[in-house]
Amino acid sequence: MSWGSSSGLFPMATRINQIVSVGAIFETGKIKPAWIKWNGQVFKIEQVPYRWLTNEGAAEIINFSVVSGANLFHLAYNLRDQQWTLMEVEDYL
Amino acid sequence: MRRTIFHIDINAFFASVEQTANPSLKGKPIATIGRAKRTVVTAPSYEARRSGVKTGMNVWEAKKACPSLILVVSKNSLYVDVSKKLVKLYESVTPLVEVFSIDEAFLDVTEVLGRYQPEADPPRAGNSPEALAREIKRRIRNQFDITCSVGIASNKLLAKLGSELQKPDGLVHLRPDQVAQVLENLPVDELCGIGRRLKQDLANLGIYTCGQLARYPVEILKKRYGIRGIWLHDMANGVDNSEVIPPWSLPRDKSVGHSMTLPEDINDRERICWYISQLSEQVARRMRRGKYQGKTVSLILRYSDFETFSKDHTIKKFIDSGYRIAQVAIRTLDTIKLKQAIRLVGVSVSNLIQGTYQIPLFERERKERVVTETMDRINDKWGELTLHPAVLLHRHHHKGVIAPAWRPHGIKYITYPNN
Repeated sequence: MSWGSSSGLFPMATRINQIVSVGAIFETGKIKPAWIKWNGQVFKIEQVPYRWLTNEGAAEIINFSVVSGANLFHLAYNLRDQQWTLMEVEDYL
Repeated sequence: MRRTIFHIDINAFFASVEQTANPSLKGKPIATIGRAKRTVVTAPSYEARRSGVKTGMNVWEAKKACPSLILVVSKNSLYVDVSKKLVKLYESVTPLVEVFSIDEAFLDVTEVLGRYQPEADPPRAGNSPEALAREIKRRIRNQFDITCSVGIASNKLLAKLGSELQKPDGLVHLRPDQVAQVLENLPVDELCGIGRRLKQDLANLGIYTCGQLARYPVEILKKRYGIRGIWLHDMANGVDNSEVIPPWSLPRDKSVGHSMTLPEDINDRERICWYISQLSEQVARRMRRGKYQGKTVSLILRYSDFETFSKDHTIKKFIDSGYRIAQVAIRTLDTIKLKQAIRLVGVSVSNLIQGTYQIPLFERERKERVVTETMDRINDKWGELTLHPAVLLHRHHHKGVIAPAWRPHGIKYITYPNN
């Protein structure tokens, strides 16, 4: 299944900003998301092309750009709240 | 002593980072755009540039130039993260790093040449500047999967010129005996610091190339442009004595400002005041972070036909509160008879002092200070504008483009939220 649309003038990203369940592997000081449960579906993560850090006040957020099938997800893990947020979904062309 | 300066310019930075974060975009014509309603292309990839897409084009123009163009909404927080990591990489080579913008930096490598070996501890890359530049390029490619152009020369001006000469993925060493030849036919506006107006003014004197500018009598330039005339003469001759200034020896900031292009042109005073209040809060937060206070408040306005002007007002007391800054800016607004609708509003504070603070004499001011400090502590913990003055209930969630003045240190460091 793919989300959003890459056709026409408008960008292909769809903003979600929703707390989701994520299965992750904590290994040698790194977090690797393995699957996302969203909209009643489980998306297996095949690739994590990039991760970056941001802050929300004093809370550190680790952001992940992850690939699952035809989709690219932007996930954010809030270290203070220990919560995963699905920020955006893009068509993976 | 002759110095060796590198200018490193990441090629199509925003677009390249997007292609790294989303590998399906690799090799495709993409362009990053802002999230605002009236957005423009902020960075086209090289594939898009080949089809004629340029920075600053609006979305319709860009799509017309390249129908297969993929538009990607900018992720400022991602670019800031990559930029900070790049600066760390540069600082692992030399402590003398001057960040010029989010994707450009100057490195003074004079002292590290011959001492740099990547595998050794500390790392080492042989004696030649080219070997060191190639090593930096390799590390950038390996770590971020992006390319850069490096200019090598004896000063910042020529190093920057060198990096412009070969894009993408370039490496140009401008040696002293090549400088006159390279500059001879180079259009004057290729030099850093010569903009549209100055270019036109020089054209009126019959000066179009750096060679012509270099031969023009310096006395006449001095008479016309003052001290800038000497600077123009030096630049055209490839002379630049400015040093690479690392963050720890940066001069004190002269002003702190914010501006925003509005979602639509407005001429309603009340709405302009909302934007002024929001910008004033942002300016004040950064001032307090840097322990600055100022007493000149400038209001910057741009009409719908792009005519831009500013008006300053200097008060007797030094201030750092958003409320006080907004009060002065709004008073200034009330002295202006608007001729057209407004498309951009900016607020800036100058005449700054740093590190000194006078304890307020009156009860009301003391209370105001306590409230401001408490709000700062809450916002530091929970995020910007978690707690804010009621006037900002109508605030505009501005997803701005990263300003050219952005730096990874000091009060020019601005964080960008995820969404």
